Amino acid sequence: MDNNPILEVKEARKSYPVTKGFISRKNIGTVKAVDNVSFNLYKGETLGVIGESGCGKSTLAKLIMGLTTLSGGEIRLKGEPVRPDMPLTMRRNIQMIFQDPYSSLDPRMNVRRIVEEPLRIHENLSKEEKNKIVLPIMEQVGLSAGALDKFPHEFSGGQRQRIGIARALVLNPEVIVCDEPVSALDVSIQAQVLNLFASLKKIRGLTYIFISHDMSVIKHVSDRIMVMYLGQVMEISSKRSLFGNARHPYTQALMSAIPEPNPAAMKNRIILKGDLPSPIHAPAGCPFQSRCPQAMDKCRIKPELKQVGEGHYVACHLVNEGVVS
Amino acid sequence: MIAMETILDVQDLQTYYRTGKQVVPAVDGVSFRLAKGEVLGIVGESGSGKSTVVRSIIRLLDKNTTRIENGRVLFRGKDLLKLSGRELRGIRGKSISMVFQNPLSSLNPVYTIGNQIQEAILTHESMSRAKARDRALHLLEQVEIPSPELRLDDYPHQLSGGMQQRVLIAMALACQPEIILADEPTTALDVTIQSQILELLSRIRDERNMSIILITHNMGVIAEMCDRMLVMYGGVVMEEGKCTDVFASPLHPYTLGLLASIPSLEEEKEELYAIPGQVPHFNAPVSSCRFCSRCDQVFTRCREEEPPFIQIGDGRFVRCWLYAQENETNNG
Ligand SMILES: Nc1ncnc2c1ncn2[C@@H]1O[C@H](COP(=O)(O)OP(=O)(O)OP(=O)(O)O)[C@@H](O)[C@H]1O
Ligand SMILES: Nc1ncnc2c1ncn2[C@@H]1O[C@H](COP(=O)(O)OP(=O)(O)OP(=O)(O)O)[C@@H](O)[C@H]1O
Ligand code: SF4
Ligand SMILES: [Mg+2]
Ligand SMILES: [Mg+2]
Repeated sequence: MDNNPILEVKEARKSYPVTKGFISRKNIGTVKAVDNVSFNLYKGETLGVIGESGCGKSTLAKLIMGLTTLSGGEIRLKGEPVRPDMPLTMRRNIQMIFQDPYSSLDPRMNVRRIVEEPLRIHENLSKEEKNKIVLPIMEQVGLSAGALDKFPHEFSGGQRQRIGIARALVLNPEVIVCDEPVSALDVSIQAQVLNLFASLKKIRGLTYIFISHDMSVIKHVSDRIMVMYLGQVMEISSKRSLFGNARHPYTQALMSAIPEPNPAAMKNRIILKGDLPSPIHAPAGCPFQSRCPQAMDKCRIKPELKQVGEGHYVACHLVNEGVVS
Repeated sequence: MIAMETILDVQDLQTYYRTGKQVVPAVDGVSFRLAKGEVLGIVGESGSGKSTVVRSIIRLLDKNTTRIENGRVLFRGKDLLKLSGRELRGIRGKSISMVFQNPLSSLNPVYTIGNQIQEAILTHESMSRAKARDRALHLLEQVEIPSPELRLDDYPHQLSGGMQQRVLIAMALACQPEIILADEPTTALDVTIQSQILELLSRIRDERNMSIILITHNMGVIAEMCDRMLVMYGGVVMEEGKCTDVFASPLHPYTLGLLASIPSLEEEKEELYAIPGQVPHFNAPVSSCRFCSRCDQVFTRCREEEPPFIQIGDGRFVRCWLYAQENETNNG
């Protein structure tokens, strides 16, 4: 692995104003969708991002893609700052794949137009030149050349996701941000698409940020894993270290909540009390305190990320106290 | 083990959709029994007919496009498919109630949740409004809604998805049903909230000795919640058995494929098994194994004749030619 990170995220923040009232639009607070997130991404690795609905995964993806402006902090791709107005030469290096294979493809365009669209925006190519790029990619994602003349509605969910992947690949990006790319698919089709991601990683040396709320999927694809809760990083570590020694009570609860297709492997479930708190009323201090089975007075003060092992960081006061859980 | 009392007996159910000239055999000869106090899981890919099965049981189907072609659904000796609309309404929501996947679309946005639970009670039982409100409050407590007396006056959109699902479960419980039909009740929820809801359902089942049919495409949920399971594909049941048996020794190539395609938390696999292709469209009548276009063990007979539902052991069935006995093969 290269020592220089391909992507650097430093104290990234994004907040949205929350307004009330249709006409007056009174500001009643802010949602800290992404709150002080830092990590590095290295060439050829897959960083899995996991967390529950509303914890800021998609917002983080948008920030990394330069689709929305940062409220604070910075993000650099190969040393250059990522911004909504970054030059095309830079933008082409990072592409995104979305969750919903149904709504993310324009139903009026045929597959050729959908897949070639990024090429139209980025360069002026002849038909032959485009074919030279598109045809091998169609093969790599497992679609026939004949598919190019069809329309999205003629394909199944898994095939549509392949079309989305082909589109993301035509500019030959180095980094691909996948926002829940298999969440809408059946397990059988999910397996096909996950295998495709793995083979593309090998063939093209791709670097992925892979967002999902499914821990078994995250475990399958990731080299490192980042656990988010209410916009903040709770734990980040290599996959091995996280699965061998999850330290944050939220990570532990998340892992114990996964239903497993093996009645023999029944585990001691940690059932969390209460619901995910509204991000508008995020508590001061540790964001997890309202549901944490081990919360204590000290948790009203925000815990910093502390290193607990090589490349393994945890934001929890239990760790500061030296309590081994 | 004591023989358990059968509470619901579904026999050879066939439900077809008609769209234009097309006939979709969504459910094409499904039979099973549900015992008192039992949780029966139905699993299968999208489009395999799971929802159509449970919707047929209480006839929650669009009359214009759907027809129940055949079958019987015996509940307390009565065939639900033969009941008048009025008789059926007396059972639906009272003895048999449903919980759907998307809680927000099952709740009425313009009424408070207290109001909706009271309505559910008063439809089937006569009592004063005050008493119904008390019962509603008690139900919200049972499904672990925090400060229920405040929540009674909330509108659905003021609740989180997990709380909405708990309200739906409270409504389903309002009249002490004997059977709950739960169609993907946790699919839209986060895993930690899913855990809470599944635990809630288990607890209620234990307390009331209720029976539950639980539809999900999540094998993990089946393994944790259910006593027995049906694996559906293309409108038929491919495999049936106790969950412990099916997970320990799956028989049908489809069940094997489904289980192998799930990324495992325990072992590292470089590549996942992927069932090739996708669910095809079926036209009635079907004259081959419905899985033959995707099966990795397919042989000639599979393409010529639909396999019967073959009994392998006690309550254990599989629909696959690999398990046909010699004598059957000779007869065929
Ligand atoms: N454009 C926006 N305006 C206002 N608030 C927003 C906007 N986008 C996101 N949010 C809020 O920011 C928070 C994080 O949302 P985000 O979509 O990033 O979460 P997520 O982790 O991707 O969730 P999911 O798993 O449901 O996709 C949420 O509370 C959301 O309501
Ligand atoms: N209203 C309808 N009109 C026409 N066809 C329908 C209708 N509802 C369902 N179908 C078809 O019937 C078959 C079975 O559908 P059903 O909804 O029962 O499947 P399911 O197993 O519940 O799938 P899912 O996991 O997606 O909910 C599918 O092929 C579906 O396309
Ligand atoms: S009957 Fe044949 S095609 Fe069908 S599942 Fe069995 S082996 Fe496969
Ligand atoms: Mg998202
Ligand atoms: Mg369904």
